[in-house]
Amino acid sequence: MFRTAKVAVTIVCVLMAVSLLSGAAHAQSRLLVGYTGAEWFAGVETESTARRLLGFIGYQEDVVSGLLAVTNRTPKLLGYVQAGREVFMGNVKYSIRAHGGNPDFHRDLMADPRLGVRGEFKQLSGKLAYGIEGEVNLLGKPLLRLMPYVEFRSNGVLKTQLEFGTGLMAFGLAYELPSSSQTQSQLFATYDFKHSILDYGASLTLADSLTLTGTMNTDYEIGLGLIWKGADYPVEVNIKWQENQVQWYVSYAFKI
Amino acid sequence: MKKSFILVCCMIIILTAAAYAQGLSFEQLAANVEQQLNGIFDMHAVVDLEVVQFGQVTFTTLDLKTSKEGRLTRLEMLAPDLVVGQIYLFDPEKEEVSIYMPMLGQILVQSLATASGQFGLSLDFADMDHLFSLGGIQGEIDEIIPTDQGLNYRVKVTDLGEQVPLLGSAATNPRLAVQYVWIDANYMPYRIEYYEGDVCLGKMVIREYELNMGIPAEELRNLPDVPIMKF
Repeated sequence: MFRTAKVAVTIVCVLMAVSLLSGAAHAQSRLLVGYTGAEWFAGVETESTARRLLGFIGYQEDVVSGLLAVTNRTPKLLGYVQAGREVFMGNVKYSIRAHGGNPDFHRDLMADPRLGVRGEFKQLSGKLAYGIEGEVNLLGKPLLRLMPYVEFRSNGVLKTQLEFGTGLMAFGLAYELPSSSQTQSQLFATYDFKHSILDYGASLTLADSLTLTGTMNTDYEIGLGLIWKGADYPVEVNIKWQENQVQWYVSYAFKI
Repeated sequence: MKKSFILVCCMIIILTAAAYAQGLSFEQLAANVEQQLNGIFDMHAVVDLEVVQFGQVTFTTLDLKTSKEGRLTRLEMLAPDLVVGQIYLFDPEKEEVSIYMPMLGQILVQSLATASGQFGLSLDFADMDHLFSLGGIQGEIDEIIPTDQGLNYRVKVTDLGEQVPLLGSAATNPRLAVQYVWIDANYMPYRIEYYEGDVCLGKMVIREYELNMGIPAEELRNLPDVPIMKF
C-alpha cells in the first residue's frame, strides 16, 4: 500500500511538472473514463509539447507526458510518464524517449509496466528508407528489443522488419496502400518464431479521425479495434476487443 | 545554281552574324542578357549544382519553376537521394516558405525572414533576375563558342558583387575569386563556374530550360495533401 502511494505521489509530481512546463509550450490535458475488461477506471492525462526549428529543413520536438488512472474495485494505479525528444533533419529522423509505467497504455491498457528508454533512427534515401527502433528496460520486460527495418516507397510503402531481443524473434511485413487525403489503409503480418504464431490483419483510417483495426492469428484469435478522434469535439473513443474481452476508454481534452 | 545562291546567302548571314558577334563588347552583351532576363515572365529549368564545402563536393539537382506574375519560386529536389522529393515553395507575397518533407509526410511553413536569417536565402523572381544579371558587373568576354544554335559566350567576371550567392557560399578566399558565365545564343546565362585561383569551388548548370510557358500560380502552389506544421 505504501509502495502504491509512493508511485502515485511520483506520478502526480510528474503531472504537476508537466503542467508547469506548459507555460512555455503547447500543453493539453485529458480526462479519461474507461473499462479495463475487469474494472472501471478514471484518470487524467497531460502532455506538453515544445517545437523549435533546426536550421532550414528540420525541427525538434520535445514531449513530456504522463497519465494517472485509478481502478474502482481493487484500487490499482494505471498509467505512465515519459519524456523524449524527436529530431527531423531533412530526410533523417531520430528520437529518444524515457518511460516509466505502461507507455503502451493507448494500445493495451493492461500491458506490463516497465522503466526504460526507447529510441529510433530513420533515414530516407530516394525510394528507400531504413532505420532501427530499440528499447532497453531496467525494470520490466522486455529487457532489450531491437527492430531494424527497411521501407520500399513507391505509390504505397512496403516495410519489412526484424524484431529480436530478450525472448523475442519475429519477422514482420507491412504494406501501406497508396493513401488519399481521406483514407489510409495498411495490411500487416508478423511471424513470431518463438511461439510459431503468425499474426496478420488490416487497419483503415478514415478522414484522420476514425481508425478501424482487425487482427487474426494462426491460433484463431481475433482482435478488433476502433479509435475515433473527434474532429470538431475534443473527445476520443478507444475500444479494443480481444480474446472475448473488451477494453475501452473515452477521453475529453481541455487546455491548461 | 539556286542551291549555290542559297548556300552563299547562308554563309554571308552566318559570317555577318559572327562578325557582328565578335564585335560585341561586354557591355553590349550584358545589355542583351538584361533585355532577355527582363522579357522572362516565368521559367522552368532543371539545374545542377556542384559546390565544394569543407573539402567535400556536394552535387544537387533541382527542378526550378518560377513566375514573375505570381512572385512564386518552387524548387523540387531531384538529387542526391538524401534530399529527393523535398519541395520548397518561396512565397514573398505571404512572406513565407513552405517545405514538403517526404520523410515526415508534412509541410513545414516558416517565415521568409527566418529562412533568410538562417541561410541568407531570399528567393524572389526579382532576385532570380539579379542572380543571372551581368548588369553593373565588371567583366570581359573570354571566349566565343560557335554552336548549331548560334554563338555562345564565356564571360570572365572578377568583381562578383553579390551575384550567385549559392556558389558564393563555397568561397574561402574571395580576393582570388573569378567567375565564368556561359551565355547561349538567346542571351540566356546557362552555366556559372566559381574559381579561386585554379580551383573550381562551385558550378551551376541550367541543363534545360523553358521560358514564358504561362505556368499558372496553382501549379507552383500545388503541394502534397499532408498535414502542415507552422513555425
